[in-house]
Amino acid sequence: MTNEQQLKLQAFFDSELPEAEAREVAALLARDAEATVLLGELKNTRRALDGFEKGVTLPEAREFFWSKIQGEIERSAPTPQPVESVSVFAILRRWLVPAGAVAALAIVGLIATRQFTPAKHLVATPSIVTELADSSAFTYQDKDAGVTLVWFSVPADKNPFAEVDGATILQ
Amino acid sequence: MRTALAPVTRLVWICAMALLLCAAGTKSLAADADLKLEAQLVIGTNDAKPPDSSKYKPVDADVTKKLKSLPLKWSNYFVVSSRKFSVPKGEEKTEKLGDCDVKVKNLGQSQVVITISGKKGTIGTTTGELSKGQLFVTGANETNLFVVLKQVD
Repeated sequence: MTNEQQLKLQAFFDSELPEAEAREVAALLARDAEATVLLGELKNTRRALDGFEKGVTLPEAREFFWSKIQGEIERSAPTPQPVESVSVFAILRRWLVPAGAVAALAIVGLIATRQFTPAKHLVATPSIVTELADSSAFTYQDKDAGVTLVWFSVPADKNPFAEVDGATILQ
Repeated sequence: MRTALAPVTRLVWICAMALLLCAAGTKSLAADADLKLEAQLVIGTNDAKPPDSSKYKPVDADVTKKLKSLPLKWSNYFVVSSRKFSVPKGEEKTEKLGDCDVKVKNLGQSQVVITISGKKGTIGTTTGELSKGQLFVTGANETNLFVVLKQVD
């Protein structure tokens, strides 16, 4: 029995064949025992499956059932995010925040530098050591002008400032 | 909450930190650089013209202003001789101005030791700060000749 004959037999069993072909299949069944056996198997199979499909019915209209599924799919689909517009302030803030922090650091650094470095008007009084006997020195500081004067009193013959270019300077 | 910095912001931060480090490094290097000094032998007078007008020139205006703030009895000041020199940190250098030897030791951070000597030996040593813009003036007795020391660029 060919595959085509088997398919035709199945269609005959389902009453799907035109009348002419149905007559041919009926003739085949009459002369072919194998076809008869196959038809019997088909009948048994249908009887076995009859109970499974009973009671499986949609509780609602088909269109309504599928419209619910479609709605569910649309709801769970990711919605496109609206394009976020970047404001000028946001762009400026990106630069201004670190710039502000740098400015703050610079101010802190400036204050620290002024705090820990002696300013010109806070110059410490210089320490003086005189090397000659009968000598002394005095110091004068003008802190605002930023000038320090150290004036020695030494024996006249040991004054290194007494002469210039061989000429004696006023004493 | 957003915790990660945007790449641009991160770059700005890195640049800012680098600039600060550079500035700190430059300041530190500048503090320990050679001390560039100028020593001038200055003569003070109450005359409008110097004792030898062909040789001596008036001191700079800023030096004059500072000298006039001192309790000196002269009103006009002229440069007799001048020496520019630099002293590396931790080293000392001696310059001769007339009969006077000026020895400067650079202690770093603008701290100096200035020793004044003559033909008959050292008369005194001064330790102090000599910052930019500051003037150190030293002389002896009633002599109208003295040394002015200052930092130069």
